[in-house]
Amino acid sequence: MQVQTLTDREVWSFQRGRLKLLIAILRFPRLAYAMLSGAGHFMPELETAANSAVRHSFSMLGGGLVAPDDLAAMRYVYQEYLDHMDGVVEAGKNGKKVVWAEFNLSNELLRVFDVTAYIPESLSIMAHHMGTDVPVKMIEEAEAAGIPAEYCSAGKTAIGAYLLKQAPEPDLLISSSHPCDSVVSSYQVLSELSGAPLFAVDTPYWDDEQSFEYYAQNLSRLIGFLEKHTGQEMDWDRLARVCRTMNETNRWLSEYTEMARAVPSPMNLTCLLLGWQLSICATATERGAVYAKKIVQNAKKRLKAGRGFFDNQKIRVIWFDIPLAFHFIEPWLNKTFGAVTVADFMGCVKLCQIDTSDRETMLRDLAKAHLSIAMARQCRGPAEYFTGELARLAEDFSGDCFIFTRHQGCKTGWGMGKLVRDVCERAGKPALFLATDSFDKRCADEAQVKKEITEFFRENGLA
Amino acid sequence: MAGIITAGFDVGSRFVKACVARDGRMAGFAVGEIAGDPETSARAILSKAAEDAGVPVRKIRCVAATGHGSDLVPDTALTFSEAHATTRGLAAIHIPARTVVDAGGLYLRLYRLNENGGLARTEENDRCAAGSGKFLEMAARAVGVSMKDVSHMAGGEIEGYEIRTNCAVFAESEIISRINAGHDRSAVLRGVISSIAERTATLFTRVPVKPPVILVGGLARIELFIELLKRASGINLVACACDPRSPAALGAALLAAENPPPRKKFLGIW
Repeated sequence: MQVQTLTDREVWSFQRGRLKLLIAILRFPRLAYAMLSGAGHFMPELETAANSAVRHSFSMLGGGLVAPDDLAAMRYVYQEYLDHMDGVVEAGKNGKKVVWAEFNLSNELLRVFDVTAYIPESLSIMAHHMGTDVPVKMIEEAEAAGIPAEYCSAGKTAIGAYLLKQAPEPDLLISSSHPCDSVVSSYQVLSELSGAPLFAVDTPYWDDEQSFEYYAQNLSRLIGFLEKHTGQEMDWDRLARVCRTMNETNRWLSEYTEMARAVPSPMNLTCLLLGWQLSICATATERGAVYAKKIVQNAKKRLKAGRGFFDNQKIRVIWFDIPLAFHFIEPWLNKTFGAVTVADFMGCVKLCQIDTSDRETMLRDLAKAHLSIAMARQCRGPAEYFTGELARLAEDFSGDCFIFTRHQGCKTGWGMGKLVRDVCERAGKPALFLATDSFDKRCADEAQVKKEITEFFRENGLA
Repeated sequence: MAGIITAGFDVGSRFVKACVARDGRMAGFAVGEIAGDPETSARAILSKAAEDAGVPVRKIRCVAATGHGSDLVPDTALTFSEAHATTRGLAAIHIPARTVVDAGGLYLRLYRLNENGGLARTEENDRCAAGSGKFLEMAARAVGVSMKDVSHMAGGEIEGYEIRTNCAVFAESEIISRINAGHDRSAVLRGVISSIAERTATLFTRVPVKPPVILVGGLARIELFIELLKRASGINLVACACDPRSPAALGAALLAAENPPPRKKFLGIW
């Protein structure tokens, strides 16, 4: 096994320091906006380690393109994430059980129980956003321990973080059988390594009443699993409160997603993905709902004034499977080409509202909501779930081109290649297929990705 | 852009091609093997291309590059994909092509263009030496014949030996074994060319082909390859009106004139 180069929880300690700094900056959104808009022009182009850290922090705050009102809202997200992760670290001390839950699940049930939910992939997503190479170290550690290179790198970062002692020891593990087999087996590996019991929610293939009922039964069994291992009883009233907060957040985020249909787009992808990121690690929080409401209100003002979130938008991109490791690409696209990503499947929120009138309706609607979250929605059933959504986005969002990230471990993405290409051809729009990985910079680095996008725009007369 | 002199490089895995363009046309062209480092090779080839064009190198206003090693060329303001550069170069030489087959030292590629000359689709072989010009070069060396004589040696009514392995590394062993076992060298060489042609023909099955189909790249200089590719694909191929290795370099030179180079800056992270 590889020599460990990280001390215990070093990754989170680093992230914590940076987040605190960003939150402090965001206390003064107008000043932050002025600083972000101006400072980027005066930094040395030649990137040093220090420059890289600053640049990635710039990108986390939208690269000088996020309006002061939205910056003020962002503070809620980063503060929530900071508190959430502090809670994760403190869990061992306060005796709460730590439950690892895979990032394709929605963890409302964990908010009901008095446990600490930890979404392992969020640690590596944040590490990517901060411009560190830590996720690569995690992946290499997992591969050195025998995890096949073909596995999804998201799962490998979870395993690597555990092996490198960057994550808390799990008491319980929860995963699902969507979107792919490697996710299931990654959590089986974690269960084997940690000795913690695993509950895998079995995902049905279809979108029909029978499937929703089957999934709801799975959720009932999950509740039983949590009750058994935590020694707590399910509090249904608390679940209703959590669901109502989730309904509110999703309603706002769904509206925000839809606003990107407007030309120019008032929706900022950085804000949308931040909402998604918060929802996966801290589902249905009050701060999340406030954040979602504020960004929608700000976007509405722009929409009414007929303004985009930045001026002079030239290219509308549909980037279906946007790479989480390359979040800084969006401000670069905005600044360099006047390009704006108007639709993607990660940020796109299409969750149903949960009827909180009784237990049965809550479980049924939670089942529907779980099967509608990103990746579960597109990558579990027939190919038409994937291509159908893509075709609808192409029609509704007036895209000029498509970009696809051929995530290395994604068998759905690779298997769908030809069908996706056919959708693009029918839409009559050019498509770029990037050979990269959403979590693993070793496949293609930032320079390579930027070069391919630049050439794609030039080849198709878009830039 | 009248009067502007620009240069384009196509840096492949085996050869560097340089083209000097003036007034939207090719003014000079040179090609040379990569000897040592690509940077030195590129400088030497550019001097030859400039000499061919009758212009001093210092008069070249902008240099662009394409190809496998495009980032290795010194003082390059712009880089373009092979597909973009090749199709641009061909547009300057030919009536607009609808399908282009680029058979080079490392890759076999197929570009399909739309009615406006824009790139609609790109297909390429696996990242594998089998089915590339390098494979043929290796086989020619194994049977002891120069590249310019392979068509002559393997042409005519010879029945080609069927290469049984898909991997170029193992295929070389197989070729040597067959020759040592007394097989006819011409038949072995024809088998190699035939296998490359068949691999190239598989590209046509992936994309609906529209005529005219133009063949470019180093393999387009091997007559027997063209003949066997026509036979394997059943498609009529249009010969390139100039050196088939030149369109990508020419395209890069023309694109250099058409695209203003990015402003040199030392500050600014975007």
